[in-house]
Amino acid sequence: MSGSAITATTIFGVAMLATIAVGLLSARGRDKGLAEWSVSGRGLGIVFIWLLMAGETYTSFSFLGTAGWSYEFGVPILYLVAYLTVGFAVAYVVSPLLWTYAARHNLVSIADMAEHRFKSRPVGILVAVIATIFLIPYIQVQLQGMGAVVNAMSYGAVDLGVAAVVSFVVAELFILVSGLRGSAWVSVFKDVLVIAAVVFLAVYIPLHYFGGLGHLMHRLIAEKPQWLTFPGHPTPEVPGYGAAWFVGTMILNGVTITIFPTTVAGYLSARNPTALRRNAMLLPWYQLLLFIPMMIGAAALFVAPGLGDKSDLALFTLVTDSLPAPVVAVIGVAGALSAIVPMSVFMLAIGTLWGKTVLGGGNGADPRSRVAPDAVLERGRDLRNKRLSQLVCLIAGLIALAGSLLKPEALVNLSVLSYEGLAQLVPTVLVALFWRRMSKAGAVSGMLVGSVVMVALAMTGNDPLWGINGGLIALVPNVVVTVAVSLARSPDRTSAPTPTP
Amino acid sequence: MAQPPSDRRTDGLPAPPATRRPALWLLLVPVVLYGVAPFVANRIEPRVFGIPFLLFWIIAATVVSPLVIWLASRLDPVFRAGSVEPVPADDDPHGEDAGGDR
Repeated sequence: MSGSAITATTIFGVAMLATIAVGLLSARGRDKGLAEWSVSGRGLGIVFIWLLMAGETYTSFSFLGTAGWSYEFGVPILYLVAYLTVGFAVAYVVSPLLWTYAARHNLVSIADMAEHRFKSRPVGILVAVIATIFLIPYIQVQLQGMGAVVNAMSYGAVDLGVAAVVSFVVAELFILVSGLRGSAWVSVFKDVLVIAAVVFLAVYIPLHYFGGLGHLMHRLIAEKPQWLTFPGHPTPEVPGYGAAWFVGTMILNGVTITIFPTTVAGYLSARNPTALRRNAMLLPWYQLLLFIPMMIGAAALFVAPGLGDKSDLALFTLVTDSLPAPVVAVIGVAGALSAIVPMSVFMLAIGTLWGKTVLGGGNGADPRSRVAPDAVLERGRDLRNKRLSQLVCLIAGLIALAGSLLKPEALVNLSVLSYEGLAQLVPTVLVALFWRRMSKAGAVSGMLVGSVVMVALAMTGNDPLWGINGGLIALVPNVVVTVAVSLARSPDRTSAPTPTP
Repeated sequence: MAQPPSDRRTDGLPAPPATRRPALWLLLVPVVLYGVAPFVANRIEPRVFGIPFLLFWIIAATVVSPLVIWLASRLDPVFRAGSVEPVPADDDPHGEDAGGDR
């Protein structure tokens, strides 16, 4: 191991220990129930909500994929900033809406809410299962992203697999013990490092390689104009991303992100709805930081041409090439924490979906349920639901870890479908809170039709189809079926239980 | 110690004022700003501060959007009251609960 590698690996090790300490200490003296673990007892104020949600949006994709897309395609990567900002406009209404419904009925996840809304535990279970299928690959992407970051920052000394195991252990340790509050506290650490690292790179990289940002812009315009307008630079596999794709993906992702189980965990942890509405105004500013990895990806076009399928490493290639080991390590730690924080919330969200709705007997809203609504609030049951949630949190992480070690490619291909898959839950989870007449049969059939169409499009290589995001196309039959079945089957609003679909 | 009964968490927060909220239409402004970019701003010239026009447009949209969301909140009676959000399928005056199939 070279001197640089030893320095970088040591700094990384210390930072991981600090992360564990911050995470473990954060929940001392708190309540031990499920609501504290899953949604911080609905007690976080505006500052923590901001830090947590900012932490969730700035994932390892921001360091790797953002620079990589910018390097490969150019401006189509702007869809990221567009949908995140649009998502906050949507969240101005949706986040207090979900908070109000959940707080009023003591609900902790989207499956819990769907079960309550339709008075049917099977609906809740279906929501939990579909969400899990599309979330686990996302955890794997974070694990592999972490592996790539740590491998690059240690100059190849730390193996990809070892890095993935380290990040899994760190994330599970604090999320199992401290729950969402642990993630919020680690986010503080992470956001400070990310902001410092990214702002530094914004000044340093153009100055070091080009003598200033202006010169980089001149060269881009003169030599790489294809990267600067839609549909961007075509590659052998992808003919670029046009206007229809950009607009469709922006709208689909902008709405879907507001029902992502991880985002919803953040919403429900707020102390009151006003904190969430304020957050919708403040968080878009944070997205300005995303322009920096995009700029660095573009800079790599000149500094490191020919990265080929390693374009995701565009940013770290420049960082290791131009900076001394201690600085590389700090930037690497920022990148690693950008994988660990979202990953921990993803595992927690899956745990919460299963612990109460699937394994814990539900919330008692289902008339056929053997659990009385009041019994759900009993201490013993609540603690048991929390333990089940923690168990699933661990299992979900293990599945993703196994995937990243054994079959790195298989699940990652699924992860690009996360948004498109979760979009199929939007009618059941969100629209149902606005539209009283939506029936259980309508919600279930629409959700299933949408998911099948979406997966079929993706597996037959027809996504995007006619230049439009496949998830958006699948949402059309989803909504049509939901509306048609709801109107056809529930004309009378009697108290008789509806037959199961 | 038992968990609080269901309505406790929203106790003490005002009910939403029964008014229309036209200001929420402002929330479509970010969608429009980004959505028209590939159609009206898909070019490099004119450069603004040396930044290609499309990129400048998106950066400007990202700076302006939070201001528009802020404006919407100032004009929104629900925000000014600090109340819970109206949940159309849940705020049933004739029953304690909402629900699709009952």
